[in-house]
Amino acid sequence: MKKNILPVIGYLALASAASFLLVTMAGLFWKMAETAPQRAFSAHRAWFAVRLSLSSATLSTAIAMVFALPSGYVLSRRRFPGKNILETALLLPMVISPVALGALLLIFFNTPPGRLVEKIIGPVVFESRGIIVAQFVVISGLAVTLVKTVFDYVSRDYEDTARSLGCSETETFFRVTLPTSARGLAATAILVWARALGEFGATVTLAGATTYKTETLPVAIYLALASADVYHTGVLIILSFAMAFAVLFLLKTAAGVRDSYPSH
Amino acid sequence: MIELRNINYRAGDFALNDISFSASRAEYFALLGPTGSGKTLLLKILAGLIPPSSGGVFFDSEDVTRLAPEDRAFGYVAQDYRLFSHLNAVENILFSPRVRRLPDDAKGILLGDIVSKLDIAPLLKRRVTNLSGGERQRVALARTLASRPSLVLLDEPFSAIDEGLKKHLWFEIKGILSAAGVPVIHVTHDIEEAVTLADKIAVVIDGKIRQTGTPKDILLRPSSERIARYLGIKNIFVGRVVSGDSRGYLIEISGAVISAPVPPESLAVAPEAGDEVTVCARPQSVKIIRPSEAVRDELKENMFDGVIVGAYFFSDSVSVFVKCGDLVWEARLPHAVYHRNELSVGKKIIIALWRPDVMVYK
Repeated sequence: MKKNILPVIGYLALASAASFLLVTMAGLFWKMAETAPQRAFSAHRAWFAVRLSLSSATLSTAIAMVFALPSGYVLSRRRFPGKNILETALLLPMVISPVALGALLLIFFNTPPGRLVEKIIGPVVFESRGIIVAQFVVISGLAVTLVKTVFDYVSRDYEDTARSLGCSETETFFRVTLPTSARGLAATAILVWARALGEFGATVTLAGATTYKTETLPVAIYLALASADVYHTGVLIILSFAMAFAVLFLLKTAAGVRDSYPSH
Repeated sequence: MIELRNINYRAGDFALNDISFSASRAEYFALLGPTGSGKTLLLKILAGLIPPSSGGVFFDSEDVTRLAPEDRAFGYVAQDYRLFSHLNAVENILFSPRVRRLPDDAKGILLGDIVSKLDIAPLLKRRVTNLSGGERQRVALARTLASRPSLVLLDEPFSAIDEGLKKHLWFEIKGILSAAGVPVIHVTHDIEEAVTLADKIAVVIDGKIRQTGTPKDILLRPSSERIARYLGIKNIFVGRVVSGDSRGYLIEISGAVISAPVPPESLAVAPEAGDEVTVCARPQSVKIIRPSEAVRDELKENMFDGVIVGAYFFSDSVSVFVKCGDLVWEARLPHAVYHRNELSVGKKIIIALWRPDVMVYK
């Protein structure tokens, strides 16, 4: 009988990943225990960073999803010249360094069109609004690409049936396409939100790192580490892990994102 | 009356070519063809879901080619029914009345009428993911009828139904649609389904309508060798015309001489002596002759001695392969005939072809 080694390799890989996480966390605790904090821990400041991270990630995800739903639908359902180029361009923010994107935005907002945008939506550069803009630019391509993929998996036959039952294309989108793909869209929103929550490079470049203003959790970690404050850095890392795990687990459970393949 | 006039459509390497047919309101019309022949595409053009490159769709003489699907009121039932999984059965059925904002009392009357016609009261509150194939079909049909369609378009409606239940449902569904007084265009690749249900059939192969006619026309007089092959006619041999007159032809095939009637003028170019032709005979037209039995005139001209070289049992019949000279003929016999004649592999028998059913293609 042939040996089935694939599951063994899979479990070993998962165990390695979990071990790596545990070992690095253990290292963090050990280092925190042997170093004294350089200053008193400010729960108020940490709480501000947590709230700012959560609210900015949620807002930028909401804006990105509102933008991604019609864009993803058109990309999934229509053919037009330059579609392949556009789809490739949407993937660029995932490949290009976030710092480069932040720098691009910083330069843009120092040009007349950028200043015009600031006149419309309010000040962006080195402001909390900049966090939303930076996160939106980083996650929107990912959101559109994932939403398109979700819509690709909704059979056209459902929409055709709805059309023959009296729905216009727009009614079909709201009555059939969206509800049919709700689970996939929820999973997309969670992934996009997670990416926004961890965003650092573009945010720090465009919005800066001002305490009680643009200090998200990743920025707070960076600032603590820059001042060689291992204890504070450790506390903020643990806070990040706990917050991200709790929110992702709750969202995943609430959205009903489960295994789609029956397990052995 | 629904009419397609010179419909053309190209999608990559595939094309629908110059499709024209019409179906009257009273007809149950089937589009029959192999998978990938363009039947579903044609149905979607009819439904307005795909615009044709050229040509027109007419309903009761009105040009509906540019009309949006929601404005045509043609009920399209997709393959596998495509019930909306986020709605339960009754919500699926009331989908169209809700979209069209029918008043609640009108919705109630409509639902009551459809539920009693299709006998689906116990299914109404069920999740559609928990329905069986037959139940899903009824709910899908109810949903379509609730949209009060002027034409129903069925795309392979029985493909997801168990074989045993399928034939029972054929008549039931046809009965429901007839009672509703809605004309039907039914797409299928299943020959038996098409000939059983339809009043008129169009055979679609490779994006073209190859033959249109009644089930009897299609089954007994396929207009080309290609259609004969598609219909599963097994006894197909190439021969040469020895002689021909107004009564028919004598055709020589590997030393055997077959007598065939003159094909209807509409079907083929008449062959002449010396022409190479293809001869086809349905396995059901190959008869077993018992030595003591009186032989009918239609069988006398095509009788051959042979030996059984194979027999395969099906649920409703037996396929018997008989070698006569260099030719092996397939005969499809009822089980009773097979057993009554004590047939078995190796037994010597006499077979005869039912002459009116022998087809000749140039």
